[in-house]
Amino acid sequence: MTFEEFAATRMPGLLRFAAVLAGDRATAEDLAQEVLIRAYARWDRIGCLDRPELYVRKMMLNEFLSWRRRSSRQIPAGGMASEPASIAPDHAAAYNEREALLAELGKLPRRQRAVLVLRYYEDRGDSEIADLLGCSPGTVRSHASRALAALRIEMSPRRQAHAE
Amino acid sequence: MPNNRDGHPMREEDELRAALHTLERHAPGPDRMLAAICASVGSAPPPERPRRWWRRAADLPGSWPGWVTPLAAAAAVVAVVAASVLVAKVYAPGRAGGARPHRVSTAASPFPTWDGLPAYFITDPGPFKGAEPSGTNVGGTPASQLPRAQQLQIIATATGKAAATVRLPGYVAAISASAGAFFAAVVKDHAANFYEVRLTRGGTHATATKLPIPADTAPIGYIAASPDGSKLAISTFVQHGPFGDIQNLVVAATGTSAERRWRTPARDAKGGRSMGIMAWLADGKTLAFNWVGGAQVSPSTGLRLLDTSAPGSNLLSGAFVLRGYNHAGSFDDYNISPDGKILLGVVACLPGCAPGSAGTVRGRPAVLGSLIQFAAASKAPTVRYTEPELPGVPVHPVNSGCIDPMWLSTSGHRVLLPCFQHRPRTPQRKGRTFPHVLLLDGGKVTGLPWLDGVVNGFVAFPGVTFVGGTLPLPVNP
Repeated sequence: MTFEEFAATRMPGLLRFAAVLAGDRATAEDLAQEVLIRAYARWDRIGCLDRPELYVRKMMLNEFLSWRRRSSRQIPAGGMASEPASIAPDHAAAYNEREALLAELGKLPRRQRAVLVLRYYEDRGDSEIADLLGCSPGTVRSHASRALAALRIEMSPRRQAHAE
Repeated sequence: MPNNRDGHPMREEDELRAALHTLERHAPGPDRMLAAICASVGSAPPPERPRRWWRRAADLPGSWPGWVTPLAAAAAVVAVVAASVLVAKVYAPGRAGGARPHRVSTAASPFPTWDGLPAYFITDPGPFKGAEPSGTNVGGTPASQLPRAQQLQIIATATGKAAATVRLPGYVAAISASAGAFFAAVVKDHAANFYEVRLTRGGTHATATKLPIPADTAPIGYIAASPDGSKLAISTFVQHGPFGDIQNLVVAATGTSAERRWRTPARDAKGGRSMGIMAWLADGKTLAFNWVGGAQVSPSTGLRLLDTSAPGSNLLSGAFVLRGYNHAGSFDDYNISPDGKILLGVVACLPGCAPGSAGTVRGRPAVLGSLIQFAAASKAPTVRYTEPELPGVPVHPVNSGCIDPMWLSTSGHRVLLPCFQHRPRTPQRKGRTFPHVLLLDGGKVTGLPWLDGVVNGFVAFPGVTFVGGTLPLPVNP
């Protein structure tokens, strides 16, 4: 696969993955740019792989996990509880709840966040996530469980049974 | 909702899944990323894979004679070049100023529907409104900063996600949609050309074809495609003596280079009079357009109809339907149902945005930002929808309201309506305006939250082009 073919067919999906992983546009751009420039330079080897996008995705994940700097998120959150109860259908409440959840997601350790993104955005299984992150499936479940507890997310009974 | 040990309500996994998907909006543009990559490596071409197969094939025992391989390679190169030229001629989005324009052969079949709505619409996230092909400034943007090519996204109504994107060879000045295709006015090299964009391969790809409509060097206002896509109405500004810009209307056949022109009569060509959004009625020959007669409260501001099959070239020769400033309030513009029976308008602020209402509907003050429906024949108003006011939030002049419809069915019974709610700044958080999209189906109101993100751009559904991007901001943010 040439880099042009890769860019035309696989890049949009990778850029979306970078955005979800990073959580904001500026960080997503930095992350994607660093990884793609490196991938471009080594394309003679990466392009020969059966599924180069998987390799680039793993590069992206490693880059994200190795970053030491933290982005400063500017999400207006909180303050809802002190407001008077709404009697009108309040479409803004749903937004605020989502934004609050995203803000809390941004505070998670990177590895926990990566596990959640791979599990709930990419719909990957725990063993696949373990392969990507280079750890055991048990560690993946442990990261996921801690992250979900921090976000006050109730695991579905099916998944809970699997975890136990 | 269950609580955790600390008494906080628990969320569900699906909420996390949905929240993660909303982050896709931060995805960088592929074009921008490619440009960054090229810049970082000095625009060097990507390294090629080593072509070891060539040498290996020649070395293999029992392989073809040595002269066959270079000959086959040369033949392959010729075939690839010929195929590229052919593909470029058929599928390339055309080149501005091309010698022989493509002829668009057949009318596109209508889009499939989703829950009664057209299954697809097109969005222009970075509109360059008031594009001026002949000038150097477009919407205040220096020409050097304008994109040389621009992508439009075709969005699936059912999901709010991009089904396909199409790259056009200039910046997009206006968009529109017929029942089965999309249209764009694209400016490059100081001339506007017109493209038809069709969905292909089961709605996963889009191709743009340059239409044979003569290029226009006047600034483009709006475009409107007729329901069958055979005609494109184009409003342009033209310089008219000492009075400044006035409006010109061109109705061009999309399959040939035939066109007709209408002009503002000289007596009306002064004081910044202009055409607003326009739409075709279902008969395919009547064009409805909003006319701004110099001021919002001017008696000539309102919705007009023009029979494009009638002789003459006077833009204002058709019927005047309803004034913008009337018994029910003040309206910046109207949408008319394709059957021509009802008009829809959102109550707007009067100049200065004075608090209170400018008119009444059945004896009650019309609330700013509410959607009013008028019967085209009797002009009788009905309140179609009022966005709830937020309790505890100051209402001066408005803390919630609606914008203009994004789509309406043939009878106007079903309307896709973007509205907004504003939360003012508090010591704890920033002020924000939240847009959201509602489907009005008679008296039933349903939210389509997956479409909320499109409100900030231009949106073209079949029959209606919505001009977003400018949410009404409250006085006290």
